[in-house]
Parts: sequence; C-alpha cells; structure tokens
Amino acid sequence: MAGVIQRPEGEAARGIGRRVVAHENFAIGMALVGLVAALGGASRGATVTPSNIANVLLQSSVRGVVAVGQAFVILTGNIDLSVSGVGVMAMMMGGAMMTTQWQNILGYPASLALAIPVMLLVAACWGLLNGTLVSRFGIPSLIATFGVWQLGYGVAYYVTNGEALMELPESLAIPGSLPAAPIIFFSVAVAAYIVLNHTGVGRNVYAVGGNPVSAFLSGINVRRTSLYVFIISGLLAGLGGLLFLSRGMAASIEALRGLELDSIAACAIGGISLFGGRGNIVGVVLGAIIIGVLTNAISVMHMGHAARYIIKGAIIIGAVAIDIIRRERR
Amino acid sequence: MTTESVERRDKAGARGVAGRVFRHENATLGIILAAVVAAMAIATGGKAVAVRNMKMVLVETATMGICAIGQAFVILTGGIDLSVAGIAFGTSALGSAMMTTQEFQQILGYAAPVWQGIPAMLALGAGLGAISGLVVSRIKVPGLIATLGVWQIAHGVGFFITGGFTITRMVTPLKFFGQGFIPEGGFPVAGIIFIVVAVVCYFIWHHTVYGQSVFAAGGSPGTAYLSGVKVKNMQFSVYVISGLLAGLGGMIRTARVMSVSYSSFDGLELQSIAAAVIGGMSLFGGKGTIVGVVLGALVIGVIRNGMAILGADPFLESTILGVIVILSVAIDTWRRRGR
Repeated sequence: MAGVIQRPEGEAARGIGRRVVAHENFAIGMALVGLVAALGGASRGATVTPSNIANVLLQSSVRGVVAVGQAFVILTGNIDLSVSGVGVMAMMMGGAMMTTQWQNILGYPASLALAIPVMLLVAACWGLLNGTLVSRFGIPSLIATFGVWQLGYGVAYYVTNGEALMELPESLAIPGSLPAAPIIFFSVAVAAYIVLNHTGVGRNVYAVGGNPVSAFLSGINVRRTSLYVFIISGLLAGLGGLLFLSRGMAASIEALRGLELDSIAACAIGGISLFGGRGNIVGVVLGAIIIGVLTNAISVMHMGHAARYIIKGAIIIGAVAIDIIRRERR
Repeated sequence: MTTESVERRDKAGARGVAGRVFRHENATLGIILAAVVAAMAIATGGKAVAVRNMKMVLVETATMGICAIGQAFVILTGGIDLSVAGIAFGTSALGSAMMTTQEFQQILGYAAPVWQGIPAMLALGAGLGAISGLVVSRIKVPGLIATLGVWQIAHGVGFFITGGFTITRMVTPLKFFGQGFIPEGGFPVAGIIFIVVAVVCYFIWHHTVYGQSVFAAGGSPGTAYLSGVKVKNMQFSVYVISGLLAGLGGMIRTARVMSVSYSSFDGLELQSIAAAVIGGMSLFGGKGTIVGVVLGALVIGVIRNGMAILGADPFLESTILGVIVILSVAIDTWRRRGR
C-alpha cells in the first residue's frame, strides 16, 4: 500500500514531462506521430497535404465508429465478429428503403428521418441477439457473433438479391462527407469515453472484463452488462454502415468485408487487452487513425496489395507484442 | 452426486448397446449428419446421394476438412487459427507460380515438377504457421491476434507472388491430387488424403505422448506445466501443424480447380472453425475428437453440395451455416450444464 501512495508523489515531483511519458497512451501517440512523419517523408509530402489528411479522417470514421463499439465488447473479455455482417445488413436495409430503384422494399422511397432510425434500431436489435446468445445461453462470443455475422450477410443478400443498391436520395450524402463524418466519429468517441469513465455502466464494463466472478460477487449484473456492450457494438456497427453508405452513395454486399478484423486490430493497436478489463477509448481512436493513415499511405504511394497486407499484419502482431512486453517489464 | 452418477451408469448399462451408442459423444453429430444427408436426398430427389455425387462431396470437403483438423489442434490448446485462409492462399500462390507452364508467371523460370512444388507449398505453410507459433508461445500474444496478423501477412505474400492475377495452367501431374481416382474411376485421391490425414491425426491424438501432452496443455496449462509438459513447445507445434495442413488443403484445392486467385480461399478459416465447433471441439481447449471434426466437416460439405445442386443462393448457405454453428454450440453448452 505504501508503494501505491508514494508513486503519484514521486511522479509529480518529476514534473509534467515525466507524467506525459508515463501515460498509457504515450507510446501509441508517439507511434502515430512517427508514422505520419515517416510516411510524409517517404511520400515527399503527398500524404500530409491538408486534403489528404481530411481524406484519412473521412476514411477512418467508419472504422473508428465500429472500433469504439468493438472496444466495449473486448473490454468485457468478449469479441464481436459480427460487425461487418450487422453493418452490411443495416446498410442494405436502409438502402433498400431509400432507393428509387426497383429494389425498394417499401414500394416508395422513404425519407432519411424514417430510414436512418430504422437502420440503427435494426442494428441494435442484432446486437441484442448477440448479447442474448452470449449472456443468456452461455455461448462463447466468438461463435455466437460468428453465427450472427453469417446471418447478417444472409439477410443483406435476401433484401437486395445480392445486387448493388444505387440511386439514393442526395441528402443522404451529408453524414458521410466532410466535416460531418469525423465529427460523428469524435462525438461517438467522446460519448463512449464519458460512459466508460464516468458512469456506473462503464465501471461495470471494466469490472466484468477484469474479473467476472468478483464482479458478480460485488453485486454487478454481469449478464446485463454483457448484453449492453453487444447492443452498443451492434448500434455502432449500424452507424458505421450508415456512414459508409453515405460516403459511397452506393452499397454492395462486399462493401464492409474485413471490418471485423480492422476494428479488432484498431482495438489491439490501441492497447485494449483482449483478455478484457484494460484499455481506453483514446487508444482505440488513435488505433483506428493509425490503420487509416497506413491504408491511405499505401494507396497514395502505390505500394500495392501485397505491401498493404504484409504491413498491416506485421503492425497488428507488433503492436500487441510490444504492449505485452512492456506490461511484463513493469 | 456419486450415487446418482452410478445409478445413471447402471441404467445406461441396462439399456445395452443402443444406450451406449446413443450416449457416445459423437452420437448427436452422427444423427445430425444422417438427418442432413436425408434432407438433402429428399430435397434433390435423390441426386445428392448418388455415388458419383458422394465422391464429389468428399473431394470438395477435403480442403476444408484437412484445414479443420489443423484448426482442431490449435483449438485443443485453447487457441484459434484465423490464418488458414491466408496461408492456403499464400502457399497455393507459391505452388501455382512454381508449377505453371505460363512462362511470364513462373518464378523459377521453368515449370517445376510436382515433387518440387508440393513440398515447397507445405514448407511455406509450416513456416507461416511457425510465425504464429513463435509469437503465441514466446511473447504470449493471444492466438486470435497473432493468426489475424499472419493471415494478412500470408495474404500479402500471395499477392506479392501472383501480382493479384489468377494463375492457371499448372503442370498436368498436379491434377492427380485433386481430380484423380484410385483405381481409375474408383476412390478419389483427395478423399484418400483427407482420410489418411484424419487417421494419422487420430493416432497422434490418442496414442502418442505428444497428443496426450497437447490435450493436457489445452485442458489445464498450469497442471500440464507442473507435470513436466513443455507447454510452450506444444503451443508452438500446433500452429506449425495447422499451417502445414492449411498448405496441404490449399494444394488439394489448387489441384482440383487448377487455378488460383486471391479470393479462392475466402471464408476457409470460418468454415474450418465451424467444422471443428460443430464437431464438438470446446473453444476453451482440452476437449474434442478427430472423428467429430471429420463429421463436422462432412455436415458442412453435404449442406454446401446440396445447396449447390438445388441452385440456392450462396448467402442462404451462409445463413444456414450460421444457424447450425450457433445451434450446435448451444446444444453442447446445454448438455454440459445438464450433466
């Protein structure tokens, strides 16, 4: 106990610089700065032009929003593989309500005010399905969400017959464009930060992830907490689908492929422990942006698919390995 | 508790062979497989159970089944291998680029014979698996993340080799491993390879010290370590085996279709996990059988084949797969609670 009390005093004495360095997000922040600088140099400035930076933020918004939802789930020690399935399903559902093409499921193009809430609600319901399977039936989240992921694609295919949706109302382009998309992304992140750090639900999420048994014994409703995180993840996957639809103004069933891997990677890079209970939202936001910066730089610098996959893979493993080695040293 | 379990065992004994068969751990699965075959036979008007089609199912299932057996090794230690699709593509890209007769795609400058191409594929598969194995066993990175990274790396290697193009026109002897029959018109070679792999792995699991060590390391790593099992080496080896078998599975698919493109193996990791899970592998490690995994792979194979005969949407197939996976785990969880 004495050690615990003394440490903050020692750190305070060493000043602000030391505290910044000791902060848990310092390493990832530096990694982002270093990456941007290195890529800026390597591309002779092409990746750091204002328009390209804006582009990166735009592209990171979809991934970032979904990664925030994924972070809630991972913090409880679970995982959500269904995000791309749920996102695609919500996207196709919304698209099929708003399109003026023959695929319209309502028979008339619905307004945004109707379609967007329906999209988010449907996505949240699919999150509820995940949560029910995991918390009530005790099915491991990996399998439950894997099954729901498949179901999501099935429904998306059923709604659209597998054909791309186009001819969407023009006003839909607003949420997925600048500056709305990054603002939505950061608002979601801020809201998530507040929920996780300043509410009872957030404390429960960390407690359940840290040690479900002691959380249960201290009177926390573990089942309900798991249910909440999956609903949040489903809702945000739907929001990600909405942002994607709005950015591209067209939806194909392959559009969000790989989103579950990217969102897990953003969390892993951002320092969310896959065992649950450790990590914060700021790290996830930085992790999502790091992936965005990398993906963007690889395409701006014409490095090709091979480089994209190899670099991404190496970074995912490297980030987690460094995190684990650092933790063991302490 | 004790009397109750003794009574239960007595009852089961009294019911005789039928009771024992029913209580066997793979009984449910066998019934499910029989039901699925029957349903497909009815739905396709008997086409699904024609001998020729049954052979096709075996050939088509071989790749996924072999990968599922590798996956089962990893799941047995409580890990998971998401990299199988990536490794299958990476190795197939290497093998096809070595063995193609199209000069501009050859990486060796000549069309390599099968005895060079196939070992190279298996070696690359094992090597890529070894990356996951090292990272998991030495740095303790969770298997999910390590194999997710290796999936990307292997996919990148495949892209690097093929340049994103489809490679075709491999040397003719390769066909034998995917389309051949022994004897001519008899049993499919791919099916034989699948069965041999399953038998060898069954033997390894249940009749070798190594297999028992893997079970021990998966069931309770702490206890296994204290009993002298080299847990780290076990963890390393299962990823190498899974990578090797993913390479073998990739080889069979390449030999069957005689063409490789970057999307050839999409979804293989999830299918192999599904097969293992339907086959009764516990995702917490330390529990499962090879027979179950083979049955699980066949259930998926029969469904896929039947849907293809019926001309159903590919996405209906994925929906059904999703429901089956959730149901089979739910049943397993429910049965375990009942005991």
